[in-house]
Amino acid sequence: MILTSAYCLIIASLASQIVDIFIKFKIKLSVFLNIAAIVTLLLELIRRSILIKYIAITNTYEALIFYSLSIILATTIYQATSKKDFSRYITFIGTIIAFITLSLSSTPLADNSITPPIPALRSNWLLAHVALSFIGESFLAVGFAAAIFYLATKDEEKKVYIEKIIKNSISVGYPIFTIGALLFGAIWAKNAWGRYWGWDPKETFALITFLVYTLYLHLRIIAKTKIKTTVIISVFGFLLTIFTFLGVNLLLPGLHSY
Amino acid sequence: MNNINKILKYFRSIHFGAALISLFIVFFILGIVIPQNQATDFYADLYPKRISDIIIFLGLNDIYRSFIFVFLSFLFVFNLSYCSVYRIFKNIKIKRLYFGPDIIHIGLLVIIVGGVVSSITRLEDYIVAIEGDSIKISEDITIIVGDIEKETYPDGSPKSYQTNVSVSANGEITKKSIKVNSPLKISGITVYQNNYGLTEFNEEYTGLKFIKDNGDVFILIGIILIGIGFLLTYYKKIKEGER
Repeated sequence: MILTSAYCLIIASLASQIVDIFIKFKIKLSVFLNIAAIVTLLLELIRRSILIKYIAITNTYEALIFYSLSIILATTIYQATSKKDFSRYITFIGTIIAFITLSLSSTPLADNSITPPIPALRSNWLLAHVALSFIGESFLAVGFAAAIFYLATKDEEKKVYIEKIIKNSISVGYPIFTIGALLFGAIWAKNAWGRYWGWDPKETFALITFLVYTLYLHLRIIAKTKIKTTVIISVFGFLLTIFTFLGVNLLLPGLHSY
Repeated sequence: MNNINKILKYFRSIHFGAALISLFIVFFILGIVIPQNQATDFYADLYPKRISDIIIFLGLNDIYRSFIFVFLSFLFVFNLSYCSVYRIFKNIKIKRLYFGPDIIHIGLLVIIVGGVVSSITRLEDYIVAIEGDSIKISEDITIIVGDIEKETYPDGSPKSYQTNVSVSANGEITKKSIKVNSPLKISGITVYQNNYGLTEFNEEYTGLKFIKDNGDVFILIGIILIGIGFLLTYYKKIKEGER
């Protein structure tokens, strides 16, 4: 019921953004619809938290809801602060990514049964590790949305500006992701299993993701003409975040419950 | 002389750093794609002969200990330390207070040092015990296992595992508990709740992991340095952005 309203709000937001492309209103209705969607998804997580008597980010289903929430949040922050006219396209792509993420929670990929967390998950590091990983990734998602628009557009003047958006969103998302996924993850692993690092498939893929974005940021400093190459690398980086989150669970089982 | 300068300049350059990062990405992917630490026959069965020969020859079956990976790591440490030292001195010379990225780089180096120290000094022991067992840790310290607790949720699934122990050090006895996510530290050794079950006589047993690792402190310092480095970098970026 709560989730259905979240779907409706995001669809309404997308519809209003499409209308906005043709008729320019002074007030962006979609910003309010997005905020409503964020509140709705938060309510769903609070409802589940009360039921399991723990912070509800303990399985794939809850993680997808949280991730979708933070992508809408990152997109809306961008939408509210950007003054450029074409930023609406990036917002639109970002909202679609959030919608797809939320839709995945209704597929067999995610079990929505309410189960309390196993002993290993009962730690204060759960919130710090998981929440920061996804908040970081949601800024990387905005960078990805901008990268898609960059690769699709032919307008060179726009490209220069969009490229700054890609760089800025990655510059925000990268440290948050690194601290949440890798550093806090390592500290938690030490506390729970007695080692900072264990070459678990999810750990290794998070490291590869980190390295690809690290490569992006360093190449971005030295790239003079080959900006497009760095944009393509950032796209690979984001695809790797998705694979680390969902693909690893399906193909390479390890210590992570999701 | 000129050529040597050129080579040195390349070794501390961001270009060389980026090349090494790319190679690490390739190696980590290979480390996942190629099953690790299997018998030689395993690779012969899995891959065509030419490929399995290459895997064995290059040591890709134990990739993180292979010569190429270790060599790459050396080059990486050299590049990173050289670049950091050079940048720090340059910034001091021109009186520019901007060390964020350097602190991140140094943090990474400290973690690598910690990893090496850990791989040399780490001691790990796994002990299964029941209530009443005593485990001698050192000459003066003994752990006596008390009651072993399993807590469950109303639906019967496990909520927590806990081992209550008495630590006897130099004749003094203190009561402590070891829980999942809450290990016990005794004089440089950390004890983890690792397993729980019932013996064939229906007694509760606990699996405890004892770890002593001198690399830990380096890794923790490295992690903190990287965190500080990020904060400094972004503090600077935000300040520049305001202008």
